Amino acid sequence: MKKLIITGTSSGLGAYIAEQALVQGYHVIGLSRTETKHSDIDWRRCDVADPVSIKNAIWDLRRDSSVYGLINAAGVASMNLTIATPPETAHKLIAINLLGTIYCSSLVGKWLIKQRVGRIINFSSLAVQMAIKGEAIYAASKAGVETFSRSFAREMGDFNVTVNTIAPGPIDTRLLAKVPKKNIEDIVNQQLITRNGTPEDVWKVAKYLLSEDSAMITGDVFHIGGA
Amino acid sequence: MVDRVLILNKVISVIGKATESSAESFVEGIALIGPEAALNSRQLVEVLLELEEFAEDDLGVEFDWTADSALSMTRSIMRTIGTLVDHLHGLTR
Repeated sequence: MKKLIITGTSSGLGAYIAEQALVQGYHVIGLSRTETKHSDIDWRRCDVADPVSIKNAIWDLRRDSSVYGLINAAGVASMNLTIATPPETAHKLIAINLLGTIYCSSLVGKWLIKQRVGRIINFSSLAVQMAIKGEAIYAASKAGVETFSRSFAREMGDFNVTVNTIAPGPIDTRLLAKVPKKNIEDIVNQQLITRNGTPEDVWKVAKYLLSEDSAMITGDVFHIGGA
Repeated sequence: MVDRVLILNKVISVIGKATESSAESFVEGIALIGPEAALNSRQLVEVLLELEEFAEDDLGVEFDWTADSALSMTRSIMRTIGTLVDHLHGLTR
């Protein structure tokens, strides 16, 4: 059974993707700071902003030839004007969204190289394309993910490991709960498809990127909703 | 401490496998990075991953080759076969 390491599985998109991956037949190793309450997910406590925490959580998998992929779904958002954002919040956004993706990709990427096949899926946001007011730091962290992914895809290409990024617009998850409805509507109206995306819309792309059919697709950003 | 020659032989053998060349063509002074490198970046990664396992299994040490100087032609432990062997040998002290 192929093993997928998925970060951010305690809630939101990460939890949904982990559940769908289970249905698809993957063995899911879920990483999150708070408990992932799903009995079939092999959950390990992990703070992706801390490389030591990541290593401690999954080091036992370093020789496991069934590790097939990594989905970096852990993320935090903050909607605020940059000049009103405390430095600690800016640091947290970069540490979890960008550095967490880099740390996990670096460690698991090494193991996938040994298999000579594998999939890494990262998460960005339509906020990168739209330059939304109040999301400058969040968008910067996600723009970093996109740029990292494109270059990392080249580094991993020699080993048949693909690296792609999914960039959704607003998706109905807990991450959006604190964002005013009007703001969400404004963003959705800027999309090419002007409706709220669903977790299922995201999973369909992730499922394709995990499949054999996407073996030649790498370094790309997939915008859910269009930008 | 582990015999340095044992490590040297292993490193040369792994490089020979990665480059699909005869191990006899590799000596300590051969460069592993830079314009004169005997390996391309893909082959170098393959060598380092195999040596990582060798270090853990046979030497009982962790070989962590992540470093800011990893690709530095003046400071890297991977400058030559000899410097790489010295580094692995040093870990066993």
